[in-house]
This record gives sequence, C-alpha cells and structure tokens, in this order.
Amino acid sequence: MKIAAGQTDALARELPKAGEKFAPLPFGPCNMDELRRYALVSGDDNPIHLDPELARRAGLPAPPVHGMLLMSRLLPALAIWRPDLKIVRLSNKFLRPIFVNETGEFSGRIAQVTPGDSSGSPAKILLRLMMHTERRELALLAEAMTILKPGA
Amino acid sequence: MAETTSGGSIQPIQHPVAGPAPDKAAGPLSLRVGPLTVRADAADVAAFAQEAAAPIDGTVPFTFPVRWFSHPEIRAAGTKLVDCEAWVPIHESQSFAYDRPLATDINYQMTIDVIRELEPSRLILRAEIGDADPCLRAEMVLRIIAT
Repeated sequence: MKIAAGQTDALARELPKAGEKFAPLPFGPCNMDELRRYALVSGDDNPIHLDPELARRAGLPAPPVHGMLLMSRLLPALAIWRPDLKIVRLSNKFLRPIFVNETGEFSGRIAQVTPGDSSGSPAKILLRLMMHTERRELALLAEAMTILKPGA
Repeated sequence: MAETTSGGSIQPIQHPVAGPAPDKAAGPLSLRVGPLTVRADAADVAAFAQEAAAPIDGTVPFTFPVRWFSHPEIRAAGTKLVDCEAWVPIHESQSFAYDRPLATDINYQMTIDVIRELEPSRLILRAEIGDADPCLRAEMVLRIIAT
C-alpha cells in the first residue's frame, strides 16, 4: 500500500487498541426482490440465489443470500463502528449460508495494531469480523487490514 | 456486462493444483483469461452502491470488481474446466487487496487465472487489475456442486 498525502498525519494520532470489540449490528432480512436486484447489479446471476427449486436440488432449504452481498454489507457496518478506518485488504470465508428472509448479525474486534514508522509506513489495524445467522451459527469470517483515513 | 469489453484470450497455464495428478488426456487444469478491458461506469457504480448499502458518492465500492468476474470469457473458462453436466458454483471465499482505489469511467486491464481443483471440486479465480501499474488483486474460490 503506497502512502497517500496526509496519511503520515495518522502516525501522530491515537491508534485504536487491540481487543476493542464492536457492538453487534443487525443484517437483513433480504427478500427475493433484493437478491434479484443484487444479481442484476453484481453480475452474479447464479440461479442458486434466485431459484428455490434449484437451491433445493443443491441440498439447501431456500435460496442463500449472495456471499458477496454479505461481504458488501460488512463495509457499512465498519463505517458505523470505526469511521476513521479505511480497508485496504479484505478476505472473507463464507462458512454457512444466510437464507432469503433470514436475519443475521455482524460483530468484530480489533485483532492487532501495528504502529506506523518514520519511513512513512502507515499504522496497520487488523480486524476480525464475523457474521452469525439467526440460529447463532457462524456464517462469515473475515479479516480486514485497515489504515487510518487521512484527516480522520 | 456492459462495462467489460473483449480483446482477451484464453490460454492454458501451468499451476500447482491440489488433488491428484492431472490426467493429461483430460485437458488443462487451469486457464489464463485476458487481459480483458474492464471499467467501472458511474451509472453501474451508483446502482451497485445502492444495493450494497455503500455510499453513493462517486467512489467505487470495495467489492464492485466482483462484477467483472462474470465476464463471459471467464465463465467460458470455468465451464471448460468443469467436466460435469449440471453444476452450480457455491462461493467459499473471496478476497480483495488494493494498492489504490479504483476510479469511475477509466479503463483497466484484468488478467485472471482460472484454476481447477479436483478434491474437493473447486474453481479458484485469481485476478490482477490495473492500468500502467497494479491496482488490486482479487481471489474467488468456488465449490462446485453437481445438481
């Protein structure tokens, strides 16, 4: 990650603390209309998300919400938790599906904080983010590398 | 995919893959697609941001490049590598690593390696997107489920 103008200012600012937990935030439910609209704008028209019969043939009780829709909705959650952080890398594992018309819950914490240095390398804040289904199963596990937004 | 244009190609490539040794008679286990020209048109970005609950402020949402993974040439490569009559891909994991943010209404080049794993049955798609310099790398892992 290259340093943009203003990012070195972040070196002098107070960094988040490892272990800080984020208050859970609700997700959904998403209905079939939302899945159809997301399929249209994302290009992910995989019928398993749109066709209940195909989902059943694949062994699922209902169409699952697109994993990428879950991943996308993580970002507004982070903006609520820590609007001063900017994601530069995000890795997600989709462990269990969230089905159409189901709710979920985002949560997370600051896992690691690496201070910036005098060479211009910015502080790096590693987050562990999760989403649970309404059955309290872990649906999504993510790791996000963030930096402080310039001027935040 | 209105914002992607062709001009790419599909070429066999050599990659280490998990699972048993490849059967040469069965064809390549990975293909390189591209470079493809991709673009985040402002209207598509706004529509995507609306559904992703991202700010509609002209910036390209972090996950927007997933849209480019549905390019017909990438789908064709996946179909070529999966020797199963009826199947659906199930998204197992996804990552994006940015060197810098994408901008709207600018052409980027995307090269993507589509890699077949047999046990378990998966497709792994690794993309590099940039202009004169790299902009981001993305990886998508899809589990292949027969239907």
